Amino acid sequence: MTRNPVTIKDLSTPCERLVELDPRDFMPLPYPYDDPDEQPKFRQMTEAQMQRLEASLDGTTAIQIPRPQTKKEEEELVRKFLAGVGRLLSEDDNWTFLGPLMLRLEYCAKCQTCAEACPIFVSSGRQEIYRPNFRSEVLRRIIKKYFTPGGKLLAAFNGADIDVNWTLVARLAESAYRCTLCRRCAKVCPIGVGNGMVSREIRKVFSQEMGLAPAELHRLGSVQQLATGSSTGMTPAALADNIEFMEEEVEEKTGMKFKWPIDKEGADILLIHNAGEFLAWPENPEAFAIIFEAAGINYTLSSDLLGYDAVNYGLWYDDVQFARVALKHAEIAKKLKVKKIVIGECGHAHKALTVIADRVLPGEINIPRESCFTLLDEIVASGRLKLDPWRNNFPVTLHDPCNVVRLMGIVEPQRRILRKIAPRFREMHPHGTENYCCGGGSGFAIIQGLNFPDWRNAVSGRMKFKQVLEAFKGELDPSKTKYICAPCSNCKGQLRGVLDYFDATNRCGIQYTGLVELIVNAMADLEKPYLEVAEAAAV
Amino acid sequence: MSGVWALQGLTYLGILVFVVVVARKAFRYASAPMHLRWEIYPVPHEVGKGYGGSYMEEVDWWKKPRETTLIGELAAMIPEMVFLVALLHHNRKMWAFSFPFHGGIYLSIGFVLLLLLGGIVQALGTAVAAGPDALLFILYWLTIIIGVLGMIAVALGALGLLARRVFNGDLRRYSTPADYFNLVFILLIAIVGLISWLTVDLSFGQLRAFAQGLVTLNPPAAVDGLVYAEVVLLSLFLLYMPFTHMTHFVGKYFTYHAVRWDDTPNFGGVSYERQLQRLLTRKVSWSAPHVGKGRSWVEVATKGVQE
Repeated sequence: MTRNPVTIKDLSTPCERLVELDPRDFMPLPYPYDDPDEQPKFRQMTEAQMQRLEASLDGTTAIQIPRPQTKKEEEELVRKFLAGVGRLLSEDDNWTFLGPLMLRLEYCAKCQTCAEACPIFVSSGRQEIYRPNFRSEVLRRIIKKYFTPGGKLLAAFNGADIDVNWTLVARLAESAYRCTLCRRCAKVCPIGVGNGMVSREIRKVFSQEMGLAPAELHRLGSVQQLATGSSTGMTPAALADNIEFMEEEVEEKTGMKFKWPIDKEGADILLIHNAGEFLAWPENPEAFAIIFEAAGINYTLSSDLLGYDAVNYGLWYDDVQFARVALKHAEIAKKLKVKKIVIGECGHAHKALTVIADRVLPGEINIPRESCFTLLDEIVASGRLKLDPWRNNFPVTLHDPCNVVRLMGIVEPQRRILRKIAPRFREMHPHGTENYCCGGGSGFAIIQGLNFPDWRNAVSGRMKFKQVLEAFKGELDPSKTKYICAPCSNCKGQLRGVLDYFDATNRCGIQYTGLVELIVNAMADLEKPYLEVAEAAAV
Repeated sequence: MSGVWALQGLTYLGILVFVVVVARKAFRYASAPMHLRWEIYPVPHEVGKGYGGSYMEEVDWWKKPRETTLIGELAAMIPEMVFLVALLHHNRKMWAFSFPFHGGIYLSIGFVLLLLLGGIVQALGTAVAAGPDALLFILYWLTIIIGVLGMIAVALGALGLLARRVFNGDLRRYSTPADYFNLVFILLIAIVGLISWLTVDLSFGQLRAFAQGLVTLNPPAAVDGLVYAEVVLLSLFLLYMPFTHMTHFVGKYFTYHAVRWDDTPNFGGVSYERQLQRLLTRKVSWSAPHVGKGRSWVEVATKGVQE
C-alpha cells in the first residue's frame, strides 16, 4: 500500500508541499547503509526558493518554473497548457507518437501492476505521487474532460471530474520529471500500455507549447548544442585542443604515440562520443582510440558542429529538437562519406540515433547506425588485441543502460566481453532487460539545480545503489577496489553522484567505469594498468 | 411474439453496433500515421534472442537478412491471451480474479457459439438433445458445461475484481463509477444467466431456440421472463461495451504488434518515403518560440532555431 495516499483531486489544491519527503520513509538499503537514521542529508529548498519557484509537488524542482504573480498569468498558463494537450492529439503536430499515445490513453485498466516495477515509486517508500500511473491518469482525465465529446457531461461517471488550475498544471509538469523514462512499467503492463511515454508526452506539452523545460536539457542542452556544436559548450576549436591533450595523455599512460583520425573522408566508421566524455572522463574516448588503433579500425571522428557530440536531449522532452539534432548527425556522416556511424558509450544517443531517428531520416541520409558494443565484441572475439583478463582481477558488475538494453535489445555483446576480460565479473539482480535504471535517466543525471541532485541520489538512484551493494555483498572492504561497469555517460554521471552522496568509494571501495577502460586495462602489452585499482585487490 | 421480435431486433442492433464500432476502432489504429519506433525487448519474433536481444546486436546488421519468427510471437501471444501471463508474473493477486474473469468470458463466447451452432442444427431439422446421436449428445452437454462453467467463472472473477476495487485503496483511488458499473453489469449478466439456467432453462433449450430464431429470422413464440432479461442485458452490453476501454482486446493487439514489438528497421523504399514526405510536409503549430510554428516539419527540423 501507498505511504501517502494523496489523490488526483489533491493535485489541484494549493499547499506549500503536497508531499514531505523524509529519508526515513525511503526503501531500506543493505549493510552498511541499513540504519534508517543515518541516511545522508537530504537538503530542503529555502523558503525564498519555494516562494519564487513552483516546487509544491514534493519540495524539489527540475524545471524551476517561476511562480506566476497574478491570477491572470495563471489563467493564461493554464490556457496554453490545454492548447498544448490539444496538439498532442493532433496528427499534424504529433504524428510522431499519436498512435501509441492514443492506445495509452484509452486502454489502461488501472490495475496498478506497473507500480511495483517502478524504481522511483518503490524507492521513495511508495509515495503516491510517484506511482507511474498517477501522472498518466491526470492527463487521461484532462483529455476526457476537455477533448472527448460529452466529456464534461459524463465527467462524474467516467472519472473526468478533474479541476484544472495552475497548481495542478505546475505539479503535473514537475511530476513528468519524476520518471526516468526507463519503461520498466511498460514491460510489465498486461495490456502493453506504458506510462514512460506519457511522461515524455507531458514534457513535450510543456516544452513545445509553453517553452518550459529544465535549463540543462533545453537552453544549456539542445539549444546550446545546435548553436555551438555541443551541449557542453565545446566548440570545434576547443575539441581540437582536447584531442591534442588526450593524444598526449594516451602517450603518457601507454607509450602509444599516434594521431587521432579527424574528418577523414571515406573512413569506414564515424565514431561519435558523448562530448561530456572529453571533459569528465577523457579516459573513455582515449580507451576507444587505443583499442581502435591497436585493432586497426578504419574510423574517424568529426570536428563538424554536432559531429563530435552524440547527445540528443530532445529524446527526453521535445520532438522538434530531437529531429534537428538527429538530422545533423546523419548529414555529417553523409558528408564524410563513411559507411556507418558507431555510437560511443552513451545510452540515450544509441537509442536516439539508431531507433528513434529511424523513421525520421529520409532515404538519402539514412546511413547505417550501430552500437559500439557490437564492434567491440567483434574486436575482442577476433583476437586482434592481446588481452590478459587477470589484469582485471577485481570484482566487476555490469549496469545495463535502459536505452541500450531494454529499449534496443543489445544485451549480450557487452557481457561476452566482460566474461572474457573480467574473471570476477558477476551480474547484478535483476539484470539484462529487467535491470533497473541508474536513476539518472532522461536527463536527471545532468540536472543540477537546487536540491534536485539530492532527490536524484536518494530516491531515483536508490534502487541501483541497492543492487550494487548486493552485487558486492561480503566484499565491501574499502581497501579493495571493485568496479561497476556502466557503459553510458549519463549512467556514469549518475553513479558518480550516488557513490559520492553515500560516500561509497571511501566506505566500500566501489568505483565506476566504462567498458572500454576495462578492455584497455586488460591489454597485456601495456606497461602500466589503465585503471586505478587499490593495491590489495591487484594480483 | 412481438416481444420476442423486439428482443431479436435489440440483439441484432447490439451485434451490429458492436461489430461496426470495434471495426472502426481497429481501423483507426491501423490507419494512424506512421509513428516513431518505441519497442521494448524482449521482442519475441527475434530469432534466437530469447534473453531479450535484437538484430542490433550484430555487426553490420543491415547487411544480413532480416529473420523473424512467427512461432516465437505465437509462443508469447497465446499464453498471454489465454493465461494472462504478464498479470500472473507481476500482479498475482489481481490475476487470481482476472484469470477466471477472462477465462469465463472466453468460455461464455464459446457458449454463445455453441448455442448458435445448436440453433443452426435445429434449423436444419434435428433437435439438439441428449439422445442417441453421439455428436448431438456432445453438443448438448458441451453447451451446458461450457455455459455454466463460463458464467460461474465470470461471476466469481467479477465479484473478486469488484471486491479488490472496493477494498484495496490503491485501486479504489483510481476507480471511477464507470469501472464499478462495468463490473456490476458483467456480474449481473452472469448471475441472471445462472438463475435463468437453474430455474427455467436447465438445458438452455430456450436460449438455443432464440439463437435458432436469430439465424433463421424466425423467433420462437415466447421465452421465459428471465431468459428474456438475460438476452436484453447481453444485447445492451454489446451496445455499450465498444465505447469503453473494455475493447482492450483490440487495443492490446496494437499495443503489442504496432508498438512494443514493432522493431522493423527502416530500409527506405517508395512506400516509406511517400509516407514520410506526407508527414514532413504537415504544418507544425506548437507555440513555443524555439519551434517557429506555421512551417512544415521539414522546415522546422532543418531551418534551425527560431528564437
